[in-house]
Amino acid sequence: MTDPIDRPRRRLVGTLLLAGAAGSLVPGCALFAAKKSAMAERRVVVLTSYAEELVQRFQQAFEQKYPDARVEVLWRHSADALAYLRRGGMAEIDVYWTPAPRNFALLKQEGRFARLTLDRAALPPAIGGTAISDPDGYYAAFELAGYGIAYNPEAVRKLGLPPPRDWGDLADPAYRGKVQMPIPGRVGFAPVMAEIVLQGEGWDKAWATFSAIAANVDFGSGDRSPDTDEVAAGHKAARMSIDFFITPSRRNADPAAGELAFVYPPKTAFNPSHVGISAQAPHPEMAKAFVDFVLSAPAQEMLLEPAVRRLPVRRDVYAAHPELTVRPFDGDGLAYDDELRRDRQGLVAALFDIAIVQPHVEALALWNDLDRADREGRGSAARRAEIRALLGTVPVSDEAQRDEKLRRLFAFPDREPGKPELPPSPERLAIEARWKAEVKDRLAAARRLLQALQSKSTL
Amino acid sequence: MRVTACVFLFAAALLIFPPRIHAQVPAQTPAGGAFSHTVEAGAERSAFTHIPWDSIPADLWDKVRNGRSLTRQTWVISPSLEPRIAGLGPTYNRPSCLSCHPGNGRGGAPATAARAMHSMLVRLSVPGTDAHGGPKPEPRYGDQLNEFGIPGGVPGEGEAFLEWQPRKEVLADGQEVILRWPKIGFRKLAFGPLTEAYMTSARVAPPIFGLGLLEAVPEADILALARAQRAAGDGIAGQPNYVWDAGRKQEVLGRFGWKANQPTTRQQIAGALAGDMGITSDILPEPNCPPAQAACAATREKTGEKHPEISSADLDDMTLYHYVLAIPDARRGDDAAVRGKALFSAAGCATCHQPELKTGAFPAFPALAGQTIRPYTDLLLHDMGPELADGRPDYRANARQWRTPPLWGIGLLDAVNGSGRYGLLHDGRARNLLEAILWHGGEGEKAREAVRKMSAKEREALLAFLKTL
Repeated sequence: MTDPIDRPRRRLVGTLLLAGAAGSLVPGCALFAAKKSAMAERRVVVLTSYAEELVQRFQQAFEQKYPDARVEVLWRHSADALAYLRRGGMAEIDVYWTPAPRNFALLKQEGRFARLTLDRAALPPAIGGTAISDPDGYYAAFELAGYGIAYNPEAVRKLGLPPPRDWGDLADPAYRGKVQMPIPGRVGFAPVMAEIVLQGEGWDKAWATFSAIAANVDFGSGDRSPDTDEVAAGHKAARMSIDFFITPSRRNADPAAGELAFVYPPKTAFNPSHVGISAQAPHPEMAKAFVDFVLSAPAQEMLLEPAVRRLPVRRDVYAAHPELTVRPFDGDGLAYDDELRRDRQGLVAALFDIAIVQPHVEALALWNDLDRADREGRGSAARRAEIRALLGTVPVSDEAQRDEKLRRLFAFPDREPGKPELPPSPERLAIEARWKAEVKDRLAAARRLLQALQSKSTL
Repeated sequence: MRVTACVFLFAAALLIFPPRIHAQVPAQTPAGGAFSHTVEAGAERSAFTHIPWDSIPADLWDKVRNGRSLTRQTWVISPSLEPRIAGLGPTYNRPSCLSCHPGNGRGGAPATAARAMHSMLVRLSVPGTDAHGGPKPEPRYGDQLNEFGIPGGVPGEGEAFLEWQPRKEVLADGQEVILRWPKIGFRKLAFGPLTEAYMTSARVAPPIFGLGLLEAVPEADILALARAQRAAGDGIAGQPNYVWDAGRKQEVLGRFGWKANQPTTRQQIAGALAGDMGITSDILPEPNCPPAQAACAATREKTGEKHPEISSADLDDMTLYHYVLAIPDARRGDDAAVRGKALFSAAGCATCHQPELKTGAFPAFPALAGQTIRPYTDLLLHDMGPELADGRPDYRANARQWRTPPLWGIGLLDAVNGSGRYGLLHDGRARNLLEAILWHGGEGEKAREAVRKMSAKEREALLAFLKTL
């Protein structure tokens, strides 16, 4: 085979030799070396947890703008990324670009980011009073994720129901077996979604809503998949979901035939992902170029592409797209507090597991009995409300969940690869045992009341 | 000559007596039997990711989901809190299957020499064969150039690039088509120059659906096609490749890859995991670190990585996901597409791009058995002439031979990949279907000439038909 390869290499070697010889003869040698080094560093190393579909669009667009630059992509989920960055990774990466608000907050506190220079006129700092970018400028919002209900219009219609509009709509007994509800301890976006309901409805009412919706859910082997394909296929009618499965312009809109639909409930929130530059970035100039690029209007436009389906953070992009049915910066939605989510995430996940998932089969039978009693008008409305309250109350009150010590006890510990997870403390195990017993007692009480309704009606 | 004359007669007849049917290619067999799906208008972008859940036993759904999740996964460098998805590197090209197969579709070639290869790779070898008759890896760089090394001291091997050369073709009606072909170059080679007698082959990533159905086509049927082609005596004589099956430890029929150099879907996936991402498996359990690459070899001890990095069960689930991906049915075309279908056969294209095959027994996933499918391939190697030759043998495939690539789904590439974001033929040189046809040489020369001599309307009709696939 002919050798088309060696020619450019020979040219390069020749050029380098000539330049090197010239460099040794003139004081410009140092300048040459510096230029050579800068050329070799036309690379930016980016750590992310974004899906490849999104990453490669931005990677290719950046490389199109800077044809001799290369984007090297490293990927880790948030806990893994935090462990990596703390054990020296900040010196190996230039840019951290991901939806992991806790990591950004912690890494900033630890002084691991360089301050950014941002176009603050184009990039709103907050949504409804909630900051989305770091007020001190160490990291910036890159895109927004909203939370709501994905549903199959045809499947919902077959159940004789109107399209869902709010979380509570999914508690209708007509949805039995037809709803999907991601479990906070198992699906990445679920903790934020659960927290939006908790903050939107208040602690007690939110748990009652979760319990009632859970009666329509088949947790089966555990809902670990973030996808909407069972809803799209019509096996399920609706799913509590993050919004990026649906094209932005089709959210909150009337769906076309056969199309998956998505609605934002009135009290929902838009949670930002972030981008920041490592204080130890090996390629700081390219890092800045990359951050400037992903926050630029052309790149933010790319967020709306069908393969990406995210919400931009620039006002001018929304202004250029009047067809968008979702406009996070214009609404007066929930003043969502993600710090509160991070603070009690472990507690909520444990409670969800013990109060909702573990007793699900037993609770479902009782919800079915209650549903029957409602339909047949058995017992007084007050008695049925009492049963509903027993089924929808969790063992931790609103006041109790505010206890910092309790939250710390259930906080997810930071982990290290290769080191086993620490077993739960005896104190935590004792509390969990108490919760389980309390749940059992409440279900038993509900059962007794339902049986009483049953026996009265047969008399 | 006979074929050309037939084409002219047929084309003339079509022009004089245009078909009376209107705007519909007649209903035909679903493209993938029970593993087919109708692509709804507006859903073309996800045409290659559809899973026909109702054709899959429900007890396998979780495994399919797991396989899909791993196929979509961007892999992580060890050590990691998630060892199940860790093992990227020490050297690699891209971190995810979808990097090269966006939307489960096709890769493409960089537009200029300055740009990086994002969804293709360059195979390397030197004269001779390995222990199993396959290509002999280049001693410093192995059998494929990996651009990236993991942070912390493992250098990437270097970067390959393509310098495009123009070539003008003039069709019989005077239309000029500017084709391009690549010269492969290398820069930033970390371990010195390539061995004197090295061979290269640029390979664009092909779509990943339909592999199970093709694996289920009985070997006897494929060999019968080869015999029939030879017996016809019109210059087309497909040849099977025989390659090493690492699982069964024997030489078997090759079915996948540009030179049919992989025998099974599972081994194809394991090969891509190892070659493109550096992930070891039960089929390829050792990291690809040529002796010259000391930092690569030292990674094992440094990171504590365990091999194989993907479990057998996870590799099985990825295989299952590839088995079940549905084939997009051909869309209904207009009158031109109906004419184009006839022209496709008349030009001789269908001899190699066999429209219909049948699957046989398939114990690995019995649901794929007994399906009539429309892949437009014979799974055989054909001499495609000096224009397409890469000069690099691969098992029994010589330097000029390529496996007939399936054409199912080819009309959806603009929607799945985006216009201009994919390349046809092994090195992505063809930017559209006409360019791909015009590069056919060797056994494909007669068909190419038939197309070259078509009128503009006939060519449009042929391309309209291909766009329905």
